[in-house]
Amino acid sequence: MPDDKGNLPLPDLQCLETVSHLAIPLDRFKPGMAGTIARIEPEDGGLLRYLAVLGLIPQARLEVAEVAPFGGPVLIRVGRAEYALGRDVASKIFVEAT
Amino acid sequence: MVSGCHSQVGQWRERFALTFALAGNPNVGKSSIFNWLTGMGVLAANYPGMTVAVNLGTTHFKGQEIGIVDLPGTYAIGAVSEDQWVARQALLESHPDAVLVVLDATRLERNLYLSLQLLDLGLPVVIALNLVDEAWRGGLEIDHHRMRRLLGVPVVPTVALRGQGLDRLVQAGVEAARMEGARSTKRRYGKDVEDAVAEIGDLLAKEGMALPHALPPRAAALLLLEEDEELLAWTGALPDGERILTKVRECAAEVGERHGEPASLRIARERHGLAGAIASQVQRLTSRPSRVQDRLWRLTTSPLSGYLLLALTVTGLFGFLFSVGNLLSDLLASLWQAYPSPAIRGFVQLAFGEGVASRTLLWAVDGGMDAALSIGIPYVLVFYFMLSLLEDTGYLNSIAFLTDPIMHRLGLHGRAAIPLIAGGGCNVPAILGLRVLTTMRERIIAGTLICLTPCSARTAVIAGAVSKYAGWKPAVSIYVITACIAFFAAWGLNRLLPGQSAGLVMEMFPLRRPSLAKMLRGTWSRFRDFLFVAAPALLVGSLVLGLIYETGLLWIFTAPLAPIVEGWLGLPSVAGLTLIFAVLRKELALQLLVALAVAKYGSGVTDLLQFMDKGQIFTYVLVNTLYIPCVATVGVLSKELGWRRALLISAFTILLALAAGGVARQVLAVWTL
Repeated sequence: MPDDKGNLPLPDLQCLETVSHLAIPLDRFKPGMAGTIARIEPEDGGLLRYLAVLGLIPQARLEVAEVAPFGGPVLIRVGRAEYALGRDVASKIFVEAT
Repeated sequence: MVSGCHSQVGQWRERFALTFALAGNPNVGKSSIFNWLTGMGVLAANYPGMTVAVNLGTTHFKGQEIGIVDLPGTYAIGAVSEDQWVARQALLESHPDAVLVVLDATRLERNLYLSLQLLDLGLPVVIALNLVDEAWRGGLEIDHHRMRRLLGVPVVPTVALRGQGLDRLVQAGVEAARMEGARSTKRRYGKDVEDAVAEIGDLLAKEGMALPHALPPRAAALLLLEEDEELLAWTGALPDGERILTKVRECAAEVGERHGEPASLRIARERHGLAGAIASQVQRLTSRPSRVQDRLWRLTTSPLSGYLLLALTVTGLFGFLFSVGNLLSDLLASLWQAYPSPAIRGFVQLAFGEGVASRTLLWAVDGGMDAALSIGIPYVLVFYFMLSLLEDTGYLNSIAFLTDPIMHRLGLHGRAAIPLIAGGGCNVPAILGLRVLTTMRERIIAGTLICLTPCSARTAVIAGAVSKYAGWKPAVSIYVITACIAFFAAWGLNRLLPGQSAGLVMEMFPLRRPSLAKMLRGTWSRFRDFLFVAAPALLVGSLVLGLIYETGLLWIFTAPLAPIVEGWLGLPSVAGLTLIFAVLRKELALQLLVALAVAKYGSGVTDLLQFMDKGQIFTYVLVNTLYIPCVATVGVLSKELGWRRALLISAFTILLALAAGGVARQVLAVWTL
């Protein structure tokens, strides 16, 4: 909750650290699993920004609807939208399963 | 990047007292709105090096002509991808009097992100809340009055497919344009972000310079915090630029420190948060949505049923293509031969006599037209209709999803499957469809693959020669060999070309009930592209080759071709000549082979087997299938990839065809058909 000045509280870095340890890459998720994005490998700024536009940012909740066989894409649900992410993209998104 | 299109979009803008930009996410019905407003007269503006085009059109409202700039469908305005860059450039260059933002009412949350971004740029926004009928069917009710109050801009519910609400939309646009001063520059994000924006904005305002694209200081400050390359470069070039940039970095670092993430990401997060908050305040679920459509859609993407459905669909589509295409082809050809053809023949012979000139002309106006009507047009038309059906139902997305793994091995991703399937009908539309791919690398690989995909004309030769004279097994093996060669060619290109393939990030849409009107419009707009590019190439090519044939120049090529055709491929020399002719249209190879054989060996030689054995027929057709697709394909290839790449791909396919033909000959010498 924002305080009276409209600021959101600082995240507890200790806590974030723990979360990152539990997070696993999205390409290892199975259909039906859900979770919260912990971090996105920042090696590619363009990809990071593209995903951010779609709402795929740390702390966003997502649900895995389908995983295509033979190394195919992962189908995820974010809010009311669904996206297909190639495995290489999915492997850069670390998600904490809930 | 320099914008060579400035003149094009800019000039367009100057022609009208009022100009609207049309923006929106992909697949929200934006093009339906554009078509309703502007009719068919559309002009496409291209930016150099970019294949995503901006459509320009006009609409009439109360006696006034309004220019419409249709931006590519994007999720945001930025520089992350080609479509976003083009949308951003055209939007800023056109200085629109109003931006009509088309929203998908069923996915309000994600769609509002773009609207907020446009508001942040200080643009006069009018929202078209589209697909309200679909939302309503899904049990979703949207309070557009409340939405208007929350966003502070007009919101007009529309059903673009039926043209509902569009009059009011244009009216709202005209009104918004009139209230020029009332552009939203209010604070809407968290205190940290807004403080940083205000600080940088003040600094820019103090500079007293006109900001690029007449942006308000708040918009420019936000863009700087979002690391917008153009704005950063512009600021850096200011006399006091370094000081401002230092301030920007300071402010960004402060936001970053407080929130544990870069300022640009923080802004994206807050924009999403705001979009989500607005969406949840204005929408209400009135009933559980029907699960039938959803379940059906799941079937198309789940592994087992998905691949089964895909196989059935592809088989069905090709069945449809060949049966309806054949029917249409027979019909058009017999109509042509019944009336216009004799008339044209009579007229040309009357005007030019019976000589070489007359016969040459007939190659183009009679023969060329005949071929266009019996091969090109029917199959391409049917194919485009099927493509529109796949697109309109949303099944194309499922195809892309399922084929991604195999495409990935070739350096492509699932979206490339769509043009590749199109290549089976005709290479020309398939290459025009390469625009769905975002990098040149992907377009080169996919373009090569398409050129190696047997189109309906090549299939006609495979069926008419190999299958007829050597049986179905060799015919099928031509397809198998071609598929293997194409796969390895793409695989090799993927290894050789620098860079790596971009990963798949694609929005998935549930299946929709297709609209016939929309499908017909889609079919026509693609078909028009085909007609303008392919038909002239066909007619001119026919004329040139007619001249070579009628003047007897043709036989000059026999001797230089002999070492390759006779020596390497082991084919009669006339066969080589027909292969050259087939550059025009692949099915010509077969027709000419018979015609030239008659000319060379005398009448009575109508059966291919009288001068070629089964092995030779096989080699001949294999070469014909693999080398350069046809003039029209090379034409569009150079339009899409540049002539140098088009020539390289063509040369590559010739070498590949000769290599495969030579190997086939050697193998067949040992192992007869």
